[in-house]
Amino acid sequence: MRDVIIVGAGAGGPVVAAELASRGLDVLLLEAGAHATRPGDVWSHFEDDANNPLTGYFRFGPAERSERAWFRELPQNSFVWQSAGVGGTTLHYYGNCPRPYPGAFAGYDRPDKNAYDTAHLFPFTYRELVPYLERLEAVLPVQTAAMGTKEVVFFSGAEKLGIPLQKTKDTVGFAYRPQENAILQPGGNAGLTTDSAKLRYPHATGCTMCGHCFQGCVQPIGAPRNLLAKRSTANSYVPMALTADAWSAHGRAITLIPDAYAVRVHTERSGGEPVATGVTWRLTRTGEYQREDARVIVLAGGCTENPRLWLNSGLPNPNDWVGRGCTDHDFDAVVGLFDRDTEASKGPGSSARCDFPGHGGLELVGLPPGLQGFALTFSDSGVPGHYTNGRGARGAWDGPAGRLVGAELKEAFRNGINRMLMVGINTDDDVEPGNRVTMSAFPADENGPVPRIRIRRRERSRRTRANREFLAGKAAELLRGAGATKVYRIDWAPILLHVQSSMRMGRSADDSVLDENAEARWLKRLFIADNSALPNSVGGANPTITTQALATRTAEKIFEKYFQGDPWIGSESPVVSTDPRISQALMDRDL
Amino acid sequence: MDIREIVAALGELTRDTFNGSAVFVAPGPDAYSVAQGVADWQPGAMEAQAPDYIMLGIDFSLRPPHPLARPIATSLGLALGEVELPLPSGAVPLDRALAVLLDSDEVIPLSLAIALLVNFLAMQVSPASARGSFLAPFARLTFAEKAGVLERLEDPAPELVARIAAQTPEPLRPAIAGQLAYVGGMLFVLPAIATYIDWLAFDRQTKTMLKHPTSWLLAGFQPDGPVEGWDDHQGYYQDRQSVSY
Ligand SMILES: Cc1cc2nc3c(=O)[nH]c(=O)nc-3n(C[C@H](O)[C@H](O)[C@H](O)COP(=O)(O)OP(=O)(O)OC[C@H]3O[C@@H](n4cnc5c(N)ncnc54)[C@H](O)[C@@H]3O)c2cc1C
Repeated sequence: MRDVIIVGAGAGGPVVAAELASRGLDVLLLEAGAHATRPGDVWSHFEDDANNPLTGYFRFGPAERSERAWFRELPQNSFVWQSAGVGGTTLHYYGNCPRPYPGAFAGYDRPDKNAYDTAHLFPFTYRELVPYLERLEAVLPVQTAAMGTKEVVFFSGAEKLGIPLQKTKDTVGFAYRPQENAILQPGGNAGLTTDSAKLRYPHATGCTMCGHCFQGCVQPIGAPRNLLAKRSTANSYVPMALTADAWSAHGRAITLIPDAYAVRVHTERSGGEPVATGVTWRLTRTGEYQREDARVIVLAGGCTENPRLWLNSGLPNPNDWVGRGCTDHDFDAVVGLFDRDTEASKGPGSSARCDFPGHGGLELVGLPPGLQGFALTFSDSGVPGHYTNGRGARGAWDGPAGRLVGAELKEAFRNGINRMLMVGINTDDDVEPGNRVTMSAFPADENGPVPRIRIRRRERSRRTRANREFLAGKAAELLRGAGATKVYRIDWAPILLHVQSSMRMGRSADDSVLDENAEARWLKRLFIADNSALPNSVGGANPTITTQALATRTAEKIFEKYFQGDPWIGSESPVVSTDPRISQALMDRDL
Repeated sequence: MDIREIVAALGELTRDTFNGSAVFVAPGPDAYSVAQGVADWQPGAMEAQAPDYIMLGIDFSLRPPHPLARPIATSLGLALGEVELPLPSGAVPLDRALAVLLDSDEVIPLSLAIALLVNFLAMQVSPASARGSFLAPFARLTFAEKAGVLERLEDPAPELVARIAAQTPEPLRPAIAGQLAYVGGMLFVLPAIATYIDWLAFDRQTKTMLKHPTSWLLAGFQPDGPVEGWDDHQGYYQDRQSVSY
């Protein structure tokens, strides 16, 4: 019997694993996808190799690339960017770590308090989360991002929006700023040369500005795993969890089983209550099933797979909120074409942003060309000049919103990927019960019945829609201020990339699955510790650091409640994930 | 009629349909682009083999048989009698060839079903497209007419959905409209990705470039080939390297 079994090694799972491993608990971490222990050998800079949703090494599918990705039914024009493998979707992610907006929390009492999703606030105060955010900021670590040319261009537009520069971690009003990123900033030759020989560790440290965050970060070449620039959990919390005995006085290294797809959570009745007791998983390479039991089970498979596992296991769902209330930041993109260089495909994906608490945020998004092609054609507004699907909004951008196709697409690329600038819109969107994960009528796969993700695109709440329009206008204004000669609003279809709150914690037992400690309301000893546990869309800020801070808090709650331990956040100083003891232990153990 | 010949000919019809849809998104100097009235002097989706990318994208997502492929093909097959399918033994009406196929145990690729649907809609938009150059009615349409077809796919009419539903097993009926909208979206993004991604120039086994990707030339990306880093460090905004708490 283990102390804790954690399902999913994405953003949230490894945080719980490392924190509890540092307390000496016996932790088993299961991950459905591959474990790339030598990422430089199996990844590459090439887009199709990494990002092809059906065959790429980051697809949501098994390690064996000739096998199909795991199917989800998408009953609308939409797309899911999720990655399987140790690191989960943080393998793709850009490391942007803005703190959540305080207005998304209980107890917020500033004049704009009604501007948020007030029906679905965090069940505790922002101040209560801050020590956990600080913990993450120290451990990952989070650093103020350097600029590339694209950031210089972005700021030249942001400066004209009439909003101040934010100089604090906390966001308290409209502002622009460099991102706070979970990326080790350039050191040595990094950012100063294109000569590969000079970009090897230790001549270069941190981000070499290669522009390939989406394909997974292996920079600088030759660095120990925990010194790779982008702090995906594969480079930060997973190495910590695997070496916990090396850096924590009472630490115990976890057991990690990759290629292990959890298919069932087991329960029994104890003291008159249902209690989670164990997990069965399927080894994707052999098809063999294995089971272990534990005192506590933690689900961290993401917003789609947690409801799937829950429903396939027949776990209780008395208020029917399992899978409901999915938020996705109702993303959109506004793209400017320039007649000067923006170098948009270079450097980290995003190092500059604007925050508009009560509405959401804007961020610069740099992409390589294949993904940029996707980004320019992925729309709900039809083809401008031909049809609009009843949308095609007009505003501060040129013409009606919609995709670029035909001559316009060709012209945009002819102008050059490094003369574009894309601003991503992260809407503060409302929790709505109709946006949900259910089970699909499509055939089951080898892991059981498959999930269906419904996002009711044209029926979002009035506040969500108004926020999105507000932000799109600001993005167009920013791009024009920066000198764009042409500004397109794409009106993206639902893109599930920041996905939150499908197993939400909440103040009310009527519309939440988890209590304020992230424990399931109807199943003791079962916790959730990923984006799905978030009570709302955190105001529109990128969600991962909030999830990871919450996961840290959840680890502490587990330790206190079921292992009679004392809390440690705030009283013990954090170990940074770049710590040399971790590097050394990784090398000694050939991890 | 020989089933092998029919399967092969329908494969060609499928490809021809997606030739027409690929150049709608990324036109080039090819005949399909010229025929739609929007061509481009630089390589486009055809040179990028986008039709293959589309078919892979549609067919590889689910282990065949796709449960909606046969219902779609069955529900629309009879309406395609005006279209001719060339077989080695001579051209036959498409509906007859389909009847033979549907009568067999052959797995219907979803890409074929979608191609039939796209051509069905093409003939609604322009009945004259039943005959002409190319194999597929859709490939014969003008750019504006193709937009009309894609609109009908993205937001399918209730009659079309009902028609397919009549051939679909009960639990999957509610999935039809959503799946059509989903595929409608894919017909835009897949050719765009294919045209600008590195897929034709990259060897997955050796993880090396076989040649400089045309897509990179089109986009002005990495003109000197792959790099491990860029010399684009522009310092810190107002020299700020940290924020206060
Ligand atoms: C391109 C891109 C850029 C992004 N940039 C940012 C950013 O800059 N900042 C930010 O905050 N967020 C960003 N995000 C979002 C971020 O990646 C997610 O918020 C985060 O990864 C979600 O964490 P999670 O733990 O909920 O899920 P995931 O990271 O998806 O992890 C879930 C893991 O569980 C595994 N799993 C699922 N089911 C099972 C099962 N049954 N058994 C075993 N294992 C299972 C999965 O394989 C996966 O590894 C970005 C996302 C993308 C795609």
